[in-house]
Amino acid sequence: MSNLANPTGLSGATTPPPPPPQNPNLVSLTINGKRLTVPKGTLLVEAAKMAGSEIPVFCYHPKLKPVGACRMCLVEIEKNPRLQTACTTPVSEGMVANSVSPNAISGQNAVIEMLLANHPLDCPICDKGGECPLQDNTFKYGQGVSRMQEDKRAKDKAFALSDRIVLDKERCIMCYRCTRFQSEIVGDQALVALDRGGESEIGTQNGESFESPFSGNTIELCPVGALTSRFYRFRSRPWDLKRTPSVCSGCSMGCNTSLHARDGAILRMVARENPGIDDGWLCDKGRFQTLPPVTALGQVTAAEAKQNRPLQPLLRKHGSLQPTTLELALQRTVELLRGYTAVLASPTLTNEAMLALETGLRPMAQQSQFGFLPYVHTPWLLQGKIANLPFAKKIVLLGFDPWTELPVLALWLRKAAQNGGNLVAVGQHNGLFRDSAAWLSVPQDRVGDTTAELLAALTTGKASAPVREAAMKLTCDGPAVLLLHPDLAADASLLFLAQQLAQQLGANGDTGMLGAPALAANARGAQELAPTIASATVSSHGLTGILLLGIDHLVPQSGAKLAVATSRAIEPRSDVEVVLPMLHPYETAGTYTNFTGQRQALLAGGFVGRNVPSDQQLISHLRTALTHRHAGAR
Amino acid sequence: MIEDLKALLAGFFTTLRHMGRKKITLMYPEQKRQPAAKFKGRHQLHKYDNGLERCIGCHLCAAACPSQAIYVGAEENDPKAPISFGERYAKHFEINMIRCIFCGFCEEACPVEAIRLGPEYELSDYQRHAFVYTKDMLLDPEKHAPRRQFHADVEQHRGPIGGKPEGEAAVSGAPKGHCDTPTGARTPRKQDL
Repeated sequence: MSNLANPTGLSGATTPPPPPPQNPNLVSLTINGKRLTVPKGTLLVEAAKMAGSEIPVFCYHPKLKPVGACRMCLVEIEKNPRLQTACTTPVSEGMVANSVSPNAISGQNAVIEMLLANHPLDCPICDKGGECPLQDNTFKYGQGVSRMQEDKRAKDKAFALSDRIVLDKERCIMCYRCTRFQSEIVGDQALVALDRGGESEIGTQNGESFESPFSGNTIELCPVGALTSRFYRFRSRPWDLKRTPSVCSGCSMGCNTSLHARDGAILRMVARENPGIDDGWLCDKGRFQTLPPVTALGQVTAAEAKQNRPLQPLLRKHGSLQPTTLELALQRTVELLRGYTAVLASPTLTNEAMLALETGLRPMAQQSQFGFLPYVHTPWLLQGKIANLPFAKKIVLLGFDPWTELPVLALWLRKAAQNGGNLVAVGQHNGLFRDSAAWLSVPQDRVGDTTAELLAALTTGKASAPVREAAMKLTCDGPAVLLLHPDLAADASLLFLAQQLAQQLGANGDTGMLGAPALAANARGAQELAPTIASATVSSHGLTGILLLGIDHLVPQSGAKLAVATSRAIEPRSDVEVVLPMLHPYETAGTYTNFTGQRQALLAGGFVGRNVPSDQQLISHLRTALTHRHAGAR
Repeated sequence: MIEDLKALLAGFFTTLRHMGRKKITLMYPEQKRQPAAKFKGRHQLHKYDNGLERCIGCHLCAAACPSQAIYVGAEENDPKAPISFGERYAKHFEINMIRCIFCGFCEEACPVEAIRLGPEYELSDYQRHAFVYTKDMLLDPEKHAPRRQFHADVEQHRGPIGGKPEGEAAVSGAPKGHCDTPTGARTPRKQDL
């Protein structure tokens, strides 16, 4: 081989040239003595994974563009005078790379030593300790001792970037994973690198708060303990956590998660990559706001228990809520359900509970009105798969802002826009404004008119200039996506216009996506399994009793007595008569249907004691109590 | 017959010889042995001279413990009124003394030399839950010692344990349950046995 590279051709060696590759899109190379063939353009670090040898990395992440910032992935490549970074080097034909040669190892040792020169090594108090790539790589690829005698750099230790994220500037190794995530995946550049050289640090522009709906992902991306969660801070060590696969209950996206619990108390939730649903990301709403209040067994003091959720039935006696037995609480609930009453359920119940509600409880309490809070029925069920989204070329959002409603869906739509898709948003809010081809900013009640104008622009060309311009973006070929806000879909004329527009764009469920997505966690499951309850509208006027099932907050005071089944702390308002303890969705087993109709299983990730019935048990108890009431009446 | 007599005399002689030697047995519990410096007895949590706790709540003792006797629950320090040095402190620190095998792995794992195994070895008690030593008990072993009898000969070596003795065996400041009788000693109840 060497004589081929020699332009003089005077070398005496006669090595035959390697056989030409059969497929021009494939490249064969040698990594650590192993020959393999990989697709053209593969990065060396990925090729090494295929060859079964690991190259240590910090800044490299498969979903982010390579930068070669940390220099950890140094490898020796034949005919290259210096070590090269495997994360920025694409493979080439006949390449011979070595990550275990003495040269490469000394490079890895040096990089670790330099990264640790200013790293505080406060692993005992660091939340990342035990799951830290810097710890792991130091053990595997470091030399075990430091020659540094100088003082380490002193910087802010617990700098609050926002009310959710804490930054330790000393621990940061400047890999730029967080800033790259914010600029490449989210696109809002909420985190940036400030200053230069040794003074360089991660921060926000103008020192403002780090506000992004996806900021929690940077905690998981950080390869050291520099970015930590305010809520999980110092709560546990990774080896003490029991990890349970589950599904997020924040919205109907159905992002896959892993629940991490210590002593039965769920302390944090992290992403569990499902390439067809969440692509490995979670939004902050799901990650931080859906966890049950912490009730570690044996750790609840009297004061904590008061603030926390009820773990036993409570009954109003002498003007205050007092602990009671489940039988008495159920009896009082059934009494409250006499007369003109309503049962309001949360759409975050599991499919199993939905079915029990529809076929078990509803026929037993026919005088009561049943409904979901919030209202979940959508007249235009969504068709299409999330996997279609990155290839969509025409995207129309009618009054629907996925950035706030279904944040992870916004990342998929952004991916489509990055792939050359044209996004046209109609409505008051548009979090994807940076990636929109056009944004017709109108109040929500004018969305119908603008939709009609857009349809007219596409068919007859008669419309105002901005709408015509937006319509121009939608004349290309390719898969189309049209999403309508479910609240607007209740308006029949707008629904008809939206369906016409979808037809005009050629949107279909096989290649794109169309419909009015259900927004609450299991709203689609509610509509499919409890159709009568989902489509019913409850009139709150003149009710004498209301049963709230799994709803986080109380309904406004209306004179009706309330029976509340909840997994959250409740306000002890004077109209609350009974409180029934309930399991949080993350503590119960069941299934959720996401907004595209895909069913996924939840497993119980936390444990709060045997006294709290599951949703189905509670509904079944209520049914039994109601049956007895009817029997007694006869 | 002569042989038997010889054996008998040899035996008596051995007894006679040992009567002249120094005694190695002690009249326990009246007399107590001074443990060696490296003795591994009851755990203690230490503080710095300025009053800050050494323990930073890192869970490493709990991770090293082969019998899973240690429970640690950490929290964030209030920077204005820190409890330990740094950002983190142990809000809960408990050792189950029935589980503990006194191997000393916890003191080896501790990065700040907060936990040490001390010289006390009289750890018996009447109730299971009394063996779960909380952080207060571990931080102040003198105050929260298990009930023990006071003996002048031992106390002068190592000082009073559990405060000043009242009467024969009282321990002032001992946790509840040890002070049922005026003397501090209480007869075991049936439920304890």
